[in-house]
Amino acid sequence: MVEPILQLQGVGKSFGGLRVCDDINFTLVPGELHALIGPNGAGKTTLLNLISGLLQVDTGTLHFQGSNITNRPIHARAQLGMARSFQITSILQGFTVQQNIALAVQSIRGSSYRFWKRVADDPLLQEPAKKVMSQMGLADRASTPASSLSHGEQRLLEMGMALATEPDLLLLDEPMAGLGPGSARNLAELIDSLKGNVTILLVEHDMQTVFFLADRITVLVQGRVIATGTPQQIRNNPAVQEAYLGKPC
Amino acid sequence: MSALNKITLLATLALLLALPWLLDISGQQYLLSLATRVLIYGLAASSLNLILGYGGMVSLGHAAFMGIGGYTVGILAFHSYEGSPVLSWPLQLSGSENGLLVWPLAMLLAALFGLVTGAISLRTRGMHFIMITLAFAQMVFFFFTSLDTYGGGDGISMYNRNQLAGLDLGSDWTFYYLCLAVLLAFLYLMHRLINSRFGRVLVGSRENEQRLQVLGFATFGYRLVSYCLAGGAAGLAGALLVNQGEYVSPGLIHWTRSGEVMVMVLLGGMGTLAGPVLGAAALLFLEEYLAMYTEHWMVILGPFLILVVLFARGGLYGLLFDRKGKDHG
Repeated sequence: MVEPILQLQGVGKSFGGLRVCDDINFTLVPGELHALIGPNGAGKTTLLNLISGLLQVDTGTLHFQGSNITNRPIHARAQLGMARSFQITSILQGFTVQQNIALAVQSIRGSSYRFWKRVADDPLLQEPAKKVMSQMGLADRASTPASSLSHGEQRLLEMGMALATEPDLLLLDEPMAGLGPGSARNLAELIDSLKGNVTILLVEHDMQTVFFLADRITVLVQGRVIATGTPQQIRNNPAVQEAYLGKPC
Repeated sequence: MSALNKITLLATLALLLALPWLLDISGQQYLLSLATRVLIYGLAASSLNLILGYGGMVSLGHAAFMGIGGYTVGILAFHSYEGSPVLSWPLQLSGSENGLLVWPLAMLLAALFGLVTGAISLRTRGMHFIMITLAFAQMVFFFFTSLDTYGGGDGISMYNRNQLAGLDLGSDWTFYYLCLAVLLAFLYLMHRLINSRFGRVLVGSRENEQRLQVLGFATFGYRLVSYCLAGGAAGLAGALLVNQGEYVSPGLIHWTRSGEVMVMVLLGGMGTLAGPVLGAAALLFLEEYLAMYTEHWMVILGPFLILVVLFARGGLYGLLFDRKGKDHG
């Protein structure tokens, strides 16, 4: 058995009286694309927030790359090799595309307590940034302010920033949200091309994409894991069918 | 930088360099001390701009830094006249009027104050941050007010300005050029800083702090360092201001001073390199001229400020120049 890259044990989270995540156990093995699905309000985004540190767990422990990250702050988890994209686009609106990506590159290229040298003249930052931009198809938008990008381009930038940190684990929160069919297909192909090089935890609503991309799928309903398995197993799982299609009469 | 901006920059520099002569020729020498005050307040406002404009930290306690810098000059001069030690324990420290010693010390103490208060206040956000910085500044205000040895609320009068490596700071011309050099040096350093790695993280955390943390930046450290740097520069502004007036009192630390410096930043255009200096010039000249016509000059100044803030979001700098220079000095 391969050592898991991410391991959740008994993770729970409540907002007031509402139990959003309840005794969640699951592991990610290195290199897999693991999809997290479930109806609205199942706690998928909350779970990503718990993993990336935006929220603190109430109960349970998280291990990443073998170290206990349960009480580590957001940035420390990122430095261990975790990156994420947000469901609601979270980019630096006042920065250009290239500045956004170069800043993400900066986070893995040595100390940022450097006060003198111009970032714009630093090939150590700009070259990798250009590579990511062309990978995302944003090369010709390099000096466009992020705020002037179309929604679809912003989603690509969001994803590009996560990739620019060269993560070991990539958390993607509905990367296709609001994209047209063409762009969504392009993005799915891009994610497919990343498979194997980076472990991916993907939250996505579009079932066709999920079943196309995922190696394994975990189904979350009302804050609980009701099934984990290969796409085939999940498709045939009666509990999943019930959750998604309602109780058979 | 566009050609037009380059011309504007060179023309402004030439004007600033020639200003003492121009005032001399036109017989308005009395304006030189006002111009010097503009330069010093320009430095104070620019230092606030580093944290407020570029860092998004709305501090209402900037006068505390100026006060600490100013009182460092005042207290050391006071002991120098008396020949008494400033400290006799744990180390012997005598008074001094040597600017090469006093001014760096003023900056260091102000920066240290920034380190301690910043470590606490930067844990808060928004209105809480405004209030906690104001509270720290008020503490400094009442601290110096209660020091009877140093004149309490009346402050300390100095016999002359500090010495600085053979320069005759007593001459208003020399002092003007010194302040100009200090301001330009600070603006250049800030320009480098904003475009450096550190500056990108600072501006980025103003735009979207959570995103920066998710990228792996421990934003608190960057914000704290910039808070200290701004504090140190404001300390130097305080030291210069006290040297100019040869007088320091708790009035320097009054909360309205913090407000005044903040107005300069907003009026000139925050997040632009030259804006705050422009704001300092506009505010101080307006005060001076309006006061010649009416003692109720605030009645005119107030609505003017409101109009600028409402209709020129980029401040005077935004009105006069294109907005493209924003964030990149």
